[in-house]
Amino acid sequence: MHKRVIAIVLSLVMVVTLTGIVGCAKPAGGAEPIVLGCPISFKATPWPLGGKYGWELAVDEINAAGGVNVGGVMRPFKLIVLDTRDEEPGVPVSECLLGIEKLILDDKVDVLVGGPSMSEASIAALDLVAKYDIVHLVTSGTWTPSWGKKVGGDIEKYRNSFKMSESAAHAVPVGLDLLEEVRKEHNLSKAYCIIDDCMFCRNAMDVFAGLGEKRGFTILGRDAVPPGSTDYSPALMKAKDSGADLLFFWTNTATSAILFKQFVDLEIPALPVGFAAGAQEHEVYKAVDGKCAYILFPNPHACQTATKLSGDVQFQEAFESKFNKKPFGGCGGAYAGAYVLKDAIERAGSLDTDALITALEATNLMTVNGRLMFGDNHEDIYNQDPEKGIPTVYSQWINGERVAVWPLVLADSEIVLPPWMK
Amino acid sequence: MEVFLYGLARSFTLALMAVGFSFAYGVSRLPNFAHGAFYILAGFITWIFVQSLGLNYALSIIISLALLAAIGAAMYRFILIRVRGMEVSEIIASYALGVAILEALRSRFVGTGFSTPSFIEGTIKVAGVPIDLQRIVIICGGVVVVGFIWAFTHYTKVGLSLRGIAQDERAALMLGIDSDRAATIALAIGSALAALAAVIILPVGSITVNEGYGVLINALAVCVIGGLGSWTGTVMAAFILGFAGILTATYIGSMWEAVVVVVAIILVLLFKPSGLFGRQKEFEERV
Repeated sequence: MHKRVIAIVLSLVMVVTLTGIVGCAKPAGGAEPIVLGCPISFKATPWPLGGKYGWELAVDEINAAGGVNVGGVMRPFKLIVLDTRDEEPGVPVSECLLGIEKLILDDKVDVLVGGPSMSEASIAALDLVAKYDIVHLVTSGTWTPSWGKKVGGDIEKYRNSFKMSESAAHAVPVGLDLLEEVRKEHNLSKAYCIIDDCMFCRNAMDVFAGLGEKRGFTILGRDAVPPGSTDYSPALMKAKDSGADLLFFWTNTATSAILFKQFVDLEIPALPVGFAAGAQEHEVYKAVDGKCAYILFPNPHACQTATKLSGDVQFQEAFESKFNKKPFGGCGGAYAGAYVLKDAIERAGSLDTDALITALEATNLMTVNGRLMFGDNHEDIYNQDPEKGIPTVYSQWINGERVAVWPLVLADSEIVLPPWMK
Repeated sequence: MEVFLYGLARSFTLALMAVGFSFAYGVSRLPNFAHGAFYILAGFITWIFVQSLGLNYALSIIISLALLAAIGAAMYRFILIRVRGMEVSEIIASYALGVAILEALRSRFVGTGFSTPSFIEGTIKVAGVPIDLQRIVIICGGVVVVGFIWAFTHYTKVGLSLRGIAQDERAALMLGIDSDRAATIALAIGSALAALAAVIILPVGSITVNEGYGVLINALAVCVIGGLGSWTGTVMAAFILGFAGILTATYIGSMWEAVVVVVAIILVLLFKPSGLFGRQKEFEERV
């Protein structure tokens, strides 16, 4: 009798234990998550950190709304963020590639999203992604047109890679479109270029100067200042002496905030237009005592500053509520990217690579940044009309806020000239 | 005039960045490769006290200076004292500490929104050239710091003992000067000078982690040209590099600034291997 009781108790314990083990393999009531690997260098500069925040916000929203419908089963996104450090000085690209490989092999992610941030790392990752046959959606960083050229040059090999972050190929010409409007309104046409001395900025200046001269602008001078400089006064004084009424700048370092402070202190009589790594975050205005006023810069995704597209204001409010910061860096592309991926997975009905690639190629989705479609080189199709593609938005610091001023269809204000120009 | 004025500001910026490194090395022969990290750490500490905690600006600066002095002294007492005399180990230990500080800061302070307020807001015109008042503060601050170090090492008991150690450590030991105490004081003052440079210079721009590496390189460049451990040489070298940089940027092009600085370093080392005012190589050759 005693033995029978012990046997029954032991049997019950075994049953309970086995049930528990089986239960652990597939949690009751919880569908298997879609694992997203996000390789991104989020501790070096605000741009990729914004990209990380964009994904986190969108994933939270999507999961709260029930998740992603994969062939009739609602599955949540699970985001694994890995700091690839590719934007930190002295970190070789190979480190970033090892990080991506870890996400694929150790974390067994279903899709790669987000970064890498630096163009060279992103381009180097193309072969790795092709080797492991996994879908990769780049949503922030990688501004170089070379990415699209490489993918478009061998689309069969690089079919897994898609990119919907901004491109310098759009940002500079759109800046010139904006300046043509300024020329019409205010008769400003003589430009002086000041850039950080790095390849990204040099290429932007060459494109600006080349296209600008073709469009009737006069380029009076060029200055490439060593990155990290604490004094831009020689270049600014030369710009002032040259008689320029437009200041084209393209800066990649955080210390470039000094350029804008000195621009205001020296009251350079020119309208500043260009890429401002040191002056895009909302907190910068306070940090530099408002001395980034009047500068015009690509933000570049509509939802970060514009208010006219559906969902933009809600995104801005949700972002500020979650992170206690206004949208910045690459958050706009990342946020929209999560919804683009959700849409593609739902249309594909599975996470099968081929099906997902086909679905992404057929994407035609109105996002908070405009209509998202991918071109033949798997880059998002650009168009200044948000109904036909993704526009590049320029904002201006006006009264302590970043206000969308270009394209006109999304503008919340007219362009304001510095008061000392009048 | 603008070249002179901005050249002066740039020279004193470099002098302030380098003087703490030079002071510590001059007295203790310890190269503090955490100098750039201390500079940025002081900037962030001041930022936290002023912007996050809302503390009085002057008080925040004093606390930053005191904290950095304590960290400098602690670095000697707990780390460098164990490897003193082993030059490569001294460099590796201090550099490792600097990297650890900077990378730890990187995990918390991402972005461009970190800046300390200017001491005096506004711009003035000097002979028709507009210049922001903070750069005038840099010039005045540079003069005061250089003057302070000179007076401290010539007229105070501690300062004279530090000079004694710097000139002949064994003779100083025979006279009862404690070498370890002197090195602790030197590193404390050197670190406080790095902090002082930070609170004076950083208001013209923003506080970023990467700048820590740049400050160390600038300090090394100035000290190598001036002669390691020579305070006069440090100031002279800062002026040479400051004016060489601004003249190049104004008359040739900003992109050549870095080239001119590197060429200046090579030329000086070619003709004066110990730097303009350094005597280390000459001593070694004599021995």
